[in-house]
Amino acid sequence: MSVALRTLDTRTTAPPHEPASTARPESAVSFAGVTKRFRIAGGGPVVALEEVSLEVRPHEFVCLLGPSGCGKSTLLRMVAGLERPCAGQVTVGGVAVSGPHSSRAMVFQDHALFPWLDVARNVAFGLEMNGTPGPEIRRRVAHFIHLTGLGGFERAYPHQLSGGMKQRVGIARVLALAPEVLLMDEPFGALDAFTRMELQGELVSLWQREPFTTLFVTHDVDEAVFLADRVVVMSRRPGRAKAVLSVNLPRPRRRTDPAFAALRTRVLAQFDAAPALEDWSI
Amino acid sequence: MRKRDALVGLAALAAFAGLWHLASTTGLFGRVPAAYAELLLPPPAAVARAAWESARTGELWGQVSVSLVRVAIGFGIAVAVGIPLGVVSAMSRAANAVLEPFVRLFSPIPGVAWVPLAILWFGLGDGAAIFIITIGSVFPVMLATAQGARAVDGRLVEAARTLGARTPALLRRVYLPSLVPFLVTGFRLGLGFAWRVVIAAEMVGVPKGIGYMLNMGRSTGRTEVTLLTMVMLGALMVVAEELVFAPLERHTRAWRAVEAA
Ligand SMILES: Nc1ncnc2c1ncn2[C@@H]1O[C@H](COP(=O)(O)OP(=O)(O)OP(=O)(O)O)[C@@H](O)[C@H]1O
Ligand SMILES: [Mg+2]
Repeated sequence: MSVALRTLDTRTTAPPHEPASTARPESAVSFAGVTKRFRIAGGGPVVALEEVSLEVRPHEFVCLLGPSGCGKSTLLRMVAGLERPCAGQVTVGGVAVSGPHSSRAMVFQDHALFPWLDVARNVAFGLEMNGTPGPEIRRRVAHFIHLTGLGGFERAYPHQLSGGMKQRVGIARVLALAPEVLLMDEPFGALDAFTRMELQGELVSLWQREPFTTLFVTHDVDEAVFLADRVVVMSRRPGRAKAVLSVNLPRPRRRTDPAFAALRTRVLAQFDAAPALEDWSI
Repeated sequence: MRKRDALVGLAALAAFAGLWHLASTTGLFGRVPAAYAELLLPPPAAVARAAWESARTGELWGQVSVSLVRVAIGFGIAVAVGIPLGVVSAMSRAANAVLEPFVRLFSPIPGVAWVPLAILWFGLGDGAAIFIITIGSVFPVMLATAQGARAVDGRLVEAARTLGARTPALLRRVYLPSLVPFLVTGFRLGLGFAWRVVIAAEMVGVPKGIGYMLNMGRSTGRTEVTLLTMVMLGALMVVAEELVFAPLERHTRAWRAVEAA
């Protein structure tokens, strides 16, 4: 399905001789031996990510979980095209990522809404960029404002909204573009527990309704277990995918479910285990 | 409440005019002969008469428009030069290194200090006035632009790129709106300098214009003309503020305050 949807991003073509392990057609996002080093002025290179390999299936919900500085944001930014790997390859729908594109839209932790645009115009921004005709923009904006529960706030400016509402706008803004891959970098990190749970639930139902693949960064174990089909546990610098755990709980999930608690414990155990649990196979 | 504030303000102004009238007609409360008081401080009515008179003959508008045109041209040049310089100095380290010493050296020199040179170079006329207006207002415009360009939020630029914005759209839809509040500040400051400088220049020799009229009033013994010109100056600034700057600032202030917090 994700291959069929790729009509927009035809600018890049995959190199002819790819390693066999990368970009199998059934993966929506693929990291193949991705390494990223940063050079910091006055110091040696920082290895942010080392040899990260991961396949994300179409319409899968994957959470990247790990301690601060393990390279979660960097991984996401490479999918967004805001950062390039030093070695290895990131492909989306079988095509190597070469720059930002609206089919790989991102929701930022600090929402990054345009403060000079009201809610409706923030949501319309990406559609205006890709040349969507006016009536279609209005239709989509209205639809996603409604879907994210922002009805009545079309003319409000970001500074007039609560933190949770700003994140809703951030989500509506990218969903309006019908992205293939939705990238979310700790989108609920700055919210209180109640708003966070509410938005988690709404995100899952949006995801169930629309065909996008989700890569979601968090350092909240509960959040990961609640949201994800699979949780990728990352190790501290240099960042590696230390373990991948499947969460086979039925949805809607209940945090009070004993099976939920058991999974949470399993995820937490990954952080205690000194040597990496080699569970790359999944 | 706001309406009441405005009424109180008007009443205070009226009281001030009353006091002025009294001082003027009583020879500054008996301190000088009445005829002399008329020269030192003509009453408000005399100023109003002068206003009517010079409005009727077109003299007032003639002089004001001379200054306005000078400021428009000089400030226009300052903007045309200052904005690109500001952007370049914000974007390029090398350009900033070259520009900075000049800015540091020249921007503290009051615009008026350029008057002798300007007259020497351009003679007594529009050229000299425009030159010092440009010199006097280019720095605030340039500095505000540079500050604004440096303050553009990198996260918003990235967000726009992930939403599909390419360079032209980025400039128009992200950089420009981010710059507007800084430009409002820079323009207000720059125009303030431009006004002061043009009036000073017109007072010390550049013929015609508001500053020329100020001096004329004194040297021809028509103090009411000088007073009228001063009132005009204040009124012009109020108009510029209310019609241009206040609306622009209102438009941008709300989100700016929150961003800064
Ligand atoms: N632009 C950059 N320049 C230099 N170093 C960077 C840059 N971006 C990231 N790094 C480094 O790369 C490492 C990983 O950063 P990253 O932001 O991906 O971590 P993270 O897992 O998202 O952390 P957090 O949970 O705190 O957001 C860190 O050590 C960081 O210092
Ligand atoms: Mg991060």
